[in-house]
Amino acid sequence: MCWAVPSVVKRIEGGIAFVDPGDGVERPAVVGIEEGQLQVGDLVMVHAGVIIAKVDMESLKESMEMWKQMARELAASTGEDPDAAAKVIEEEMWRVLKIAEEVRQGVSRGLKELA
Amino acid sequence: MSCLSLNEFPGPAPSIDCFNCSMMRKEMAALELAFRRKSKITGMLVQYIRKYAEELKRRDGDYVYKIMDFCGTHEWTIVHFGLRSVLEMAGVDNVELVAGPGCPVCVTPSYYLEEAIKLAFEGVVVYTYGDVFRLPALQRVRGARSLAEAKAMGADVRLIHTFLHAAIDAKKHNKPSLFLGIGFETVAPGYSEAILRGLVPPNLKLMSLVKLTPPAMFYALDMVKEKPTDYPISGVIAPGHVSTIVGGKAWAPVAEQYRIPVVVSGFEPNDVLTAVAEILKQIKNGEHKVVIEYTRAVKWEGDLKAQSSINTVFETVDTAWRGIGYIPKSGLALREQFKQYDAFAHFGIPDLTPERWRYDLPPGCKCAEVNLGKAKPTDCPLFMKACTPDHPVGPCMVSVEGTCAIWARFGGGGLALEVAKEVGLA
Ligand code: SF4
Repeated sequence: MCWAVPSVVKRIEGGIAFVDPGDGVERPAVVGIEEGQLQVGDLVMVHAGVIIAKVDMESLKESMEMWKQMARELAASTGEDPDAAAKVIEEEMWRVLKIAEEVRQGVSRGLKELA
Repeated sequence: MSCLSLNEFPGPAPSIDCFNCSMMRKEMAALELAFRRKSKITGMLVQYIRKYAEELKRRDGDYVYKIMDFCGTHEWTIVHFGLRSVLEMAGVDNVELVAGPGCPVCVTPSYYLEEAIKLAFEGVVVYTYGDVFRLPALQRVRGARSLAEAKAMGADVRLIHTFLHAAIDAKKHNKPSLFLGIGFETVAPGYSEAILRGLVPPNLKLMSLVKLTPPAMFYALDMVKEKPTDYPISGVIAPGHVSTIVGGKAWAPVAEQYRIPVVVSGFEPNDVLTAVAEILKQIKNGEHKVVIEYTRAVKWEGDLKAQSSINTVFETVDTAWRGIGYIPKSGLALREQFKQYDAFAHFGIPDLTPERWRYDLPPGCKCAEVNLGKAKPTDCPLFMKACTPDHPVGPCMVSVEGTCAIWARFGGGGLALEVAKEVGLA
């Protein structure tokens, strides 16, 4: 029950967003979050027909920063090089950011990869 | 916008092939892909976990640190990728990952299911999610033990993937209809928004069986503590998508009261491993903070709009968890002013009360212990003998997120060997 499917918002009509989870078919979803935040083209998480979160570049970048910070702390507390750990994260995460960018441009392959 | 304009929505008609399930398969594939390409991070995280575990062992000897994952999807990730085995292969033997009560289908009392089956036979169209369809009730109702059996015997039971689809479909036929509203906090704004926006037709009634996760977390932590011979839970991996609604703040009382670290985690294997590493780090440092690892979706305050919509439509009530009993303030019921949508009031279903609640698991089924982190599926004598995914005896074997069903599908190991190879352990 906790699965949420990443989808792209195709259109919004009075509290109902029509979203495409990457297969080209639009489905109605209730906007569970602040509607003003939502725009056509946004990437959202849809759970049982409810939009529960918006995943934007900003929050993905925040995620990367948080991961880097965590990696630094973890490395420091086990006596490893914090900067090297942060670099591993950064190198691996840029790909996710790239996929997110593709998703924003409506590339559905990217959407399927961005779990 | 009214239901009318939704009649012509362009998505596929509600059908047995559940949208969530087919999407889930896709997402599983995507998860694996994303994970494979980040195995460097995985290797790094496993190394941290190993180092923390070794340090804790030097400090605390054979003490076993139990970390509870609340959410069925976290359990799925742990089992599918064989994370328990991977940690074992890394030589970590003082950290145990324990599944918690994170499957709403598994904890829905048999009573409500029996009432829904009864109504289905009385001509009410019953809408339900795919998971609930095969869920076995304790007692047969007119010969049917599940909604699936009732449908096979002629009752009108329809599988849908969202409340909205039920609303659209019910409006078309206008027959008395019931929606079996199972779920945690994540589904609640879907129900409340649909009601507030007038999308629910008058013939469709909601049986709200929504359960709240923080009270169940308190309860599970207390239960494990009840057994002094056992190790208590030392840390919690909190549910990611529930937390998009309730926020990281909902877990602060858990961290405070039990003085244990709580990490709100995403659902990729690396998310879960990060959570484990962070929990061990906090234990080592003597901390007990709530940390949001899943920052790409979760905020500390949660979603204030969703919270206010839920609070407008629902009130918090004591509610029964299957096999477990009543947990105070752990359920959502429709408020008085929304009674016209309430299936209990409309169909005259007497609500369950603590006095009328009875133990509702089949003989021998250990789902209650499994859900409270007190037993593993393999501790149940029926596991993979009398009880299999094809012939489930208890509720935990039915839902795709039931702990027994997950263990049955992937065994203990999952992709452990492959993962171990990729991170240089095997
Ligand atoms: S194996 Fe079956 S009977 Fe045993 S606890 Fe799991 S669901 Fe219940």
